[in-house]
Amino acid sequence: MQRIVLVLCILCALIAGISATLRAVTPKSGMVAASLGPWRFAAHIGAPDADPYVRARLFLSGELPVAAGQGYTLRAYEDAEGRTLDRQCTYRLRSPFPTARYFTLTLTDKDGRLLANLVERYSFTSSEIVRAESGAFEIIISPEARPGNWLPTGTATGPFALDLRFYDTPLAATATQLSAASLPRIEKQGCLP
Amino acid sequence: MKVLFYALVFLVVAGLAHILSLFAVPKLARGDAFHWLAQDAPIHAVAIVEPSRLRTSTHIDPNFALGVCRYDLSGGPVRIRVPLSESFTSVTFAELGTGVFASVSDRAATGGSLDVVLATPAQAAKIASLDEEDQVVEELRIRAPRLRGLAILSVFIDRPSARERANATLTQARCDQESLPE
Repeated sequence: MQRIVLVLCILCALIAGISATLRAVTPKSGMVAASLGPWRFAAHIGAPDADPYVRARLFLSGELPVAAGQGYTLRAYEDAEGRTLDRQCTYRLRSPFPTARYFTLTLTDKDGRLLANLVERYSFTSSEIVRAESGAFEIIISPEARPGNWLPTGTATGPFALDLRFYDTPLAATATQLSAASLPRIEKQGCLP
Repeated sequence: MKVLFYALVFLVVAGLAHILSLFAVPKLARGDAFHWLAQDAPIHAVAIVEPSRLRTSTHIDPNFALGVCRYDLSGGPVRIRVPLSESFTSVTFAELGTGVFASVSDRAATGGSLDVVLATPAQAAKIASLDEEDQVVEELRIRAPRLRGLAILSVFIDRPSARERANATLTQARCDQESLPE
């Protein structure tokens, strides 16, 4: 009897330990990425000293990380109010953007694949952005065509994610200088009926 | 007392299972970027990654032209040379099962190209001993933790019209094994 209880105890412990790992390395896990407002930032993901949780996430996600020292990636699954990003809705991203030689903004599905759309526009680079005379700009993410800097969410429905990558920046891999106030806000503007 | 014993067994086994499974993920994963990049890569030559392959991958910036070269340092150090263009250019070194261990960008380039020599610690020491005192070393030298890995060459495509130029840059890139004098 005692032996059976012990075996059961060990089995339960194995299941608990492995499921703890699986929970800790999900894309939105706090063990993997720090939150800066809606933006998530995985420190050292492109460096040899990445912690085991970040490294496990990297190998599960298929991500090709921006190497530490070259830049960093911010990822958002929610808007400024904490609501899941929805492909049927329109969002506006506005300055401030952190300083970098280049940045890119890419729309993906929840697994990190590009959002299919008819105009085959998946991403913006900082060189392509149309700016006002003051240098300020905004990016509109919407299922419907918009004038200016528009990224289409496509015709499919469901959640999506934003990948904001910065290249050749003075910020270190830890990006301790980053704060939510220095990053663009993701404002929801409305949804298709 | 028995309950305490079982609780202790549970905690120890669950903790071990958590730690071991966490460290096993990078070793067992096959869907990571380094694996599929290595699959298509020749040894000591640069292969350009098909844009269609990049578009169907996960969490990869589509605004880059990528080239990949697999290296094996057992026969000597490897020199990677990418001609410079106006665009952001970088070389990232990675190993299967561990990830990125080093990277350099065009900021660190001195001549008209990004010139990197990857060597084992012993090879690096040998190279340093061969340097002449008044000679300026123009190449960047990186020590590889292990003999085999990947060099990932990236050229930024800042607008769609720059794609051809970026691919041309990668076509001219080299990844050659060099021999050291005995």
